[in-house]
Amino acid sequence: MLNGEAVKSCTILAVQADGDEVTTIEGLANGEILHPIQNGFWEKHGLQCGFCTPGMIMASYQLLKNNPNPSEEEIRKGLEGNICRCTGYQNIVRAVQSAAEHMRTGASEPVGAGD
Amino acid sequence: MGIAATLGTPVKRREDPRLITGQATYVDDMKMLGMLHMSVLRSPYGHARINSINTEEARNHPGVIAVYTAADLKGKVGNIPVAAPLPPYIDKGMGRRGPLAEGKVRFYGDPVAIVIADDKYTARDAVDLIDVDYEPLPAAIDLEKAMQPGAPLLYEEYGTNVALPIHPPTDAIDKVFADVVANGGMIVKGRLINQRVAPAPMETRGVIADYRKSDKMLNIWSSSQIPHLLRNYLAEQVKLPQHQVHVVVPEVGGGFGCKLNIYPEEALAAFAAMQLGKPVKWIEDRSESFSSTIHGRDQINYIEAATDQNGKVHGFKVHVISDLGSYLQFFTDVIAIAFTLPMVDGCYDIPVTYAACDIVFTNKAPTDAYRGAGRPEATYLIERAMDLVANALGKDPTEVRLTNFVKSESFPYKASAGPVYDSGDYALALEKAMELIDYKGLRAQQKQKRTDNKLLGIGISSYVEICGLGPKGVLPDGGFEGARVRIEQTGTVHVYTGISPHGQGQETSFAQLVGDEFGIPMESVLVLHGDTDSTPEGRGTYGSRGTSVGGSAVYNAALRLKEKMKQIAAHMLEASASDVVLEGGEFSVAGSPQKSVTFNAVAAAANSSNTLAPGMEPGLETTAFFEPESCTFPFGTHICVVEVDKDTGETEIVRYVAVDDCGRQLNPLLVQGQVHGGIAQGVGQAIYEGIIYNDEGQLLTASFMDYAMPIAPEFPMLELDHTTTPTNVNPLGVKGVGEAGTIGSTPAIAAAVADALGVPHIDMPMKPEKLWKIIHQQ
Repeated sequence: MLNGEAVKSCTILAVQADGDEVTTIEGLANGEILHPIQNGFWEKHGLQCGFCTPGMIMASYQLLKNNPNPSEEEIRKGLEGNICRCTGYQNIVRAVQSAAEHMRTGASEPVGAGD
Repeated sequence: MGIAATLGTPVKRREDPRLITGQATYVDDMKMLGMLHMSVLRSPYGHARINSINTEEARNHPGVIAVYTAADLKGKVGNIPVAAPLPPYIDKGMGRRGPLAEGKVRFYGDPVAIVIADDKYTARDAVDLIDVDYEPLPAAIDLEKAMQPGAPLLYEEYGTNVALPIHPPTDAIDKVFADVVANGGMIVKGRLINQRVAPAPMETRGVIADYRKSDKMLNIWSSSQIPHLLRNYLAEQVKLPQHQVHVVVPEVGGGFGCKLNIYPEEALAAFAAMQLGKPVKWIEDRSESFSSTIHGRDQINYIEAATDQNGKVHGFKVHVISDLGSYLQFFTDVIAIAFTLPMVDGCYDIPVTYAACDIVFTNKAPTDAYRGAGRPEATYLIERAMDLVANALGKDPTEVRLTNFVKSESFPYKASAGPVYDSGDYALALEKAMELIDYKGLRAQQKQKRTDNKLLGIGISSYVEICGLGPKGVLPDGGFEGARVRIEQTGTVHVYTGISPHGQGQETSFAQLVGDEFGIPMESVLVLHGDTDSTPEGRGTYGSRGTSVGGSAVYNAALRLKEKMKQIAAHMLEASASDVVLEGGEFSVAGSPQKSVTFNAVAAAANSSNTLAPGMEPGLETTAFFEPESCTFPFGTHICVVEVDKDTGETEIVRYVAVDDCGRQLNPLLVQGQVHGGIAQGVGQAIYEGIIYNDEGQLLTASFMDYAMPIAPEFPMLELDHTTTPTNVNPLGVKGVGEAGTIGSTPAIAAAVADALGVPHIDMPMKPEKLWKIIHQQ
């Protein structure tokens, strides 16, 4: 996230991020307390090899920020920019659905500027 | 009161905390003091002679430490390993080569030289400074043309591109065919393309090699599926004794079979490290992954089925043509022969089967194992055959399948193509899938006239596959697996396994297995893998063997320690060992549960030894090796419903039901994940994916711009169910499930799309333009 918006790091020059706030997967949890999206991926087996997972989680963060109650179709469309070879996307969608429900009904920690 | 059993329940994974927090270590995460970077110069031609290579400008570029070509490797690095070099030509050298091209390049991406530099950008820049004088040659690209006399030859000295023709006598099948026709039946024929695809794991390949010159110790970190085989073969290749090579496989971002291999870049990084005495890292970029990591599938199959008017198939004849690509990697030459040919009968009781095979070199990347490795091709050809039979006779495809299925009382069943299937109930799986998807309702719905512009299609795939590699004779170095289990004085358990999971989840399922066996929480069990120094000799993760073979070794080791603990507990309880039982984490005398000692107390006694009986060996550690006596045969039925848009040719998967039988399930969550991912790859091959070379051997699909990977919006929620038919092949009753989803799915989608368009068959991939043309020609 660059100032709270999801970006692809490979298309942002470092100089463009001068003075901005960058949040990566390592910054999502609140100390030992996992973010609901991280928990969702864990509970629903939304990862296997884990390589796409940081990107999927950050993209999901953006998705849910803009649309806290997405339909299945909206989740799939919202994640179309991230590819996964292991999961067939099914449990990733379930993870986001689970996270969305927790975030709607419980407290969640804000992350980064511009939220 | 004890610990609730976890086996068979959907436990969330031990692996996940490090992966969901960005704390896992993949090869590219590793940095070492003084580490250098390797970049590879690759052939831009599909086929060319190398007249000269001038590396002077590259060598002189600031930051470049060394540049190496094949000449530098002479006498120091051996050929890329091939597990089973087949006669008559491969065993003499056809298709073999060292890590860098010599004299000729034979595929786009063929490694020609390497640059070692201070950083990866300098290395990559310097690669462009190497001047190679190529003389382009005509390329052999079309598989069937490559077999013909007069085709451009990859290995001129052999006079052909056909590395091994297998054409047994046809007397028996000819007679069956003649009899069937004489009795009013017919021969149904087809020519099928099972196209070349890229495994495309999310993490590309990568390796770090570090060599300590003083004592000649070579350390390798590689994104691999086979730590022990890599160590064994790489040691031989770089001419070091095996005990001086240490391989560690860190986190691996997907493999799907393409990392079940020993690649040129691993030997090259090792060579550079040995020359320079500094760590050398190589990370593959995505276009290299498309050009130079092995490709999967790539067969042409001719099929002929002799059927009577009732749809009973009396004889089946296949000709499998396998495109090897230009060189041999580890299993390239045996994929079709060892894994397609034996499974061409599928789930069906076919009295006479004939299989011919040609394996052929072409100017493309080497092919090798990719999820299913030969069995998706077998399933595709027999399932398409059954659909073609149904189509020719005007029968429902489910009816033809039920007519021909091996009956559930016939197991173990010897297929006429060769293997003995362990257990199965094919009709049950099909009927269950039909019920779940309301097959009758769907067919009725299909008959109704539609006002929209969509065509509805239904496709069925009933598959059986051979896996759980393996028994004697299936794999050249043996298909056994090793496990070392150590119980410490605190009662915690270390499990070291020779398998190498890269997403399959055995850190969780093996902890469940061992925890349940001892009646201790699974949190007390740590499962380790990937390091050849600490794990027993193993054969890695592929061929759906991790749990069936690897888990069985773990189980046997745990049982052995349980027996020893009973002896120790008996001494502590002053009882006879044969009277001692372990229940709920406590050892007691059968019938007297009030007098007991805990698991932890026995572990402490074993490891502190002062209170052990005289003659009792201290410690609780054992290594077990498990070798199955046969393969296992998972099976199932997938039914797919598609809607094809008449105006765009796009296919939407409306419903997908999968009923799979992998025997006993240790963790249903993990099983479902494997099936989901496998189905996605099968869908990918059927509709979206395909590696394409032009006539000159230029790779046209070298990025995700041109190679269509399936994405999230392209799937519905897959509906999974299962039957459970345990196997006797291993003590766990597990058949394996890693590849089944991919094997079962591709024919179901292919059948559904053909059904939607009302044609008997369409070749894959079923891209929108292809379907649109067919629709608009009708």
